[in-house]
Amino acid sequence: MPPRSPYAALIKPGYFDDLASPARQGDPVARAILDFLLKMSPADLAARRDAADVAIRTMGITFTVYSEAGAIDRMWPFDIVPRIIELAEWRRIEQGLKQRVRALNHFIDDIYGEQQILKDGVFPAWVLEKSVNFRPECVGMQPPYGVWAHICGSDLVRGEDGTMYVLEDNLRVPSGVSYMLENRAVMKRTFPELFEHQDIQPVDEYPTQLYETLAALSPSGLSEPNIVVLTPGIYNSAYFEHSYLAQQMGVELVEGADLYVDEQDFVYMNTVHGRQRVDVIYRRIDDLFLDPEAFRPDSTLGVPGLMRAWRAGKVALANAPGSGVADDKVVYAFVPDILRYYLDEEPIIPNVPTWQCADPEQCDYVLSHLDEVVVKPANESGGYGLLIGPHASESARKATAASIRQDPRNWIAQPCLNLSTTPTLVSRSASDCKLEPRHVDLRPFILSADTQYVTTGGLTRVALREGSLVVNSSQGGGSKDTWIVDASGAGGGEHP
Amino acid sequence: MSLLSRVANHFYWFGRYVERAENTARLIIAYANLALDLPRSSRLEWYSLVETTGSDAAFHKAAHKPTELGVMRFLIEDRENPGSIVSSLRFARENLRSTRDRVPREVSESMNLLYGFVHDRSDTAIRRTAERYEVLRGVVDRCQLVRGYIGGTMTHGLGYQFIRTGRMLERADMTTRIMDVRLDDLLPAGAELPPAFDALQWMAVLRSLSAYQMYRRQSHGAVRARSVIDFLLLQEDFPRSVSYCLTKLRSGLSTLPRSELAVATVSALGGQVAGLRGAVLSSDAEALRAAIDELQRALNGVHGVIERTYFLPLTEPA
Repeated sequence: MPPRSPYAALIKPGYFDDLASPARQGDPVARAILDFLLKMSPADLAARRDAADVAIRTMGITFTVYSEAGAIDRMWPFDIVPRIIELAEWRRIEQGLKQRVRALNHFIDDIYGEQQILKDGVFPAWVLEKSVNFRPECVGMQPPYGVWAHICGSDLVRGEDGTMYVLEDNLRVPSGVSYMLENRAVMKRTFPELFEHQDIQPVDEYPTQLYETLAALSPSGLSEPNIVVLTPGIYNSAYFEHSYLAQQMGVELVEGADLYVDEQDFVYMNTVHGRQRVDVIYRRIDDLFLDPEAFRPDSTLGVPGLMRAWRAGKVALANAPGSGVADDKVVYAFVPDILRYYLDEEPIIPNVPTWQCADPEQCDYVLSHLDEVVVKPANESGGYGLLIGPHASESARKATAASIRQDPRNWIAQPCLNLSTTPTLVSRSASDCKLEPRHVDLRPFILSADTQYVTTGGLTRVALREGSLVVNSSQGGGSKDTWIVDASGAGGGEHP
Repeated sequence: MSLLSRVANHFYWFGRYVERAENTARLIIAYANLALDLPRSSRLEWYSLVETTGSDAAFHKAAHKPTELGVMRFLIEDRENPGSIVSSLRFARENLRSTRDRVPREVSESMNLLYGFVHDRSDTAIRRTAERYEVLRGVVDRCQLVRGYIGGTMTHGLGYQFIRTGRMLERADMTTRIMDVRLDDLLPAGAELPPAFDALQWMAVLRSLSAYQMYRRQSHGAVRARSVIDFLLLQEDFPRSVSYCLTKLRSGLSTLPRSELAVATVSALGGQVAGLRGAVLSSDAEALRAAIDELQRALNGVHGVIERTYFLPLTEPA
């Protein structure tokens, strides 16, 4: 019998692990990091974790939870073990993400234009009729470069053989990129020695790239257009990120009440110098709250007349209103077809196989296999309404089954993927600190305007509870620094 | 880079609320010191404090009893009283939250510590006199700490000027209110005053503004109403005098854009204050009260000009 691998305890049988799986042990970087961590005593590990906590506290990295007691800023939950992806694999994923977002933008542009894809019978009209994110107000608009979703956050997961799949695309107001940037800063404080010996690709180019993407949308032709970040305000859970991105780009962080639209449809912000023209708005407010004239009249977050200004081409909005039509979970199932249709290419990153409950045969299959599959409502985010069949109670399955029967088109199902793991620091008491496998996903961000840019890696989210598959920070998830490492060059040089 | 009107408004009120919390604490300390000097047969009318802070309506709405404890609760920890120390600090913190990306971390941290310091005290601390004054002195100390971080770590640009504008306006207003602590109102009608009391009450006023030593360096001999009034209104270099506040208010405003009207309004008020004389006011309680009321109205007028110039939305084309 071969000797038991020192990494065996870090692997959950049947699951792929980014550091410890046998398939990863040819990678000198993964080995170097794992050996480094395994050599550390529980006390050393705890000390590093405490150092990271101090850094997070000092840097003020928080997310906001709103409750009756008022808004509470919680510390960002961070795990000190990095998640590693090899550069060559990442290059391919990067291409796959650009390809996918290019196709999605073609799709959105077509849906609000000629609707050729419906006429050609590739995409069924009922999905569109059913879509809660389709905005009739956007029909006929032609934003610059044909791009609607300028900032996209796609969630990637690995299956048991290590294959990377796209789990969903977030085309409305995806969040998390500030934590990706801050996680790296925390990691550099916590494990400086690991950075000295590895070729870890930097991530901090994002704010500049975001600025350039937004500047490219400006209708004014000014060399320095006036760009603002529009936030719902301090009680929003992502306010930290809004404020952080505005600071990093050196632009103004505004609320709806700071802006107004004049009779010529120009947008201005009120400053102590008087009014100032605004050219580009990176809006972090959902479509329906953007403009009480066009959408919800009770919205106090938005700006009356903003849609008018956008339609008149006097201001750019990123993402364009209506982009969400492509991130509905029913549309998701069609993305491979959409991609082939517009680009005439095969998808580089596969979709997770998906059953459409709209199809009676597929619906029957889902209903009779509820204890095996993951069921998702078409238009929720943040993990709400999700049923993880094998982990759910009988009564929860029954409730979901009833909802599916009532409105099958609103539901999709996917096989319960053996979501990959990464070793994660688990501590059950002050002295008991060790590494255990925990499930992870990855959210890279894709910027699109005249050119495209993909973050180096992205935000790795980790389900901190043992066995849990839910990675959302609002539901007990944490995050890790994500390292894209070049194992081909000097990176593995430490090991002969 | 310019400054959003909304953010300027938050800075301004942040400056005002921190100053208000500090001065309310000072006011209570001054009263309490006076109370200790009173003969045991006399009892203080604590309700006068409510009138001094201009919060009569809120007091009646909250249905407190006008006892020492009722008034203390109302002024220190009552969340329903927008002028209480706890409310002022909560508003200060909320205003600061919206400007977080523009202030050094130390400012927000010291503000959070200050708020936590008051918020975490149970009401037994308010009930027990010794602890109560420890809390109040702690508030003054921590307000000074926040102020120190603002002055020492924040760029003295537009945002800073709005904080300072709010602070100076609030401080001028509170100084006039603290001067208004008149012993004849504190005692029930017909009570007999011990002979040295006029001097004692003015000493208490000076001490509450940390002005006693500074005053002493300038005026020797007995503490007299006329010279204390001159000191607190006219002394150009004492940082809590009305003249000082107005001078700083004017120099700060003059660095702001579009400030002509605000500067002119403050200058006119400065001229008005310069014409006041302690010798006249000290001999006539009615005249002093009228002058103080007039000052407070004028300061409110300055606030109105600042608000109209900078904070109200410009929905009309400029």
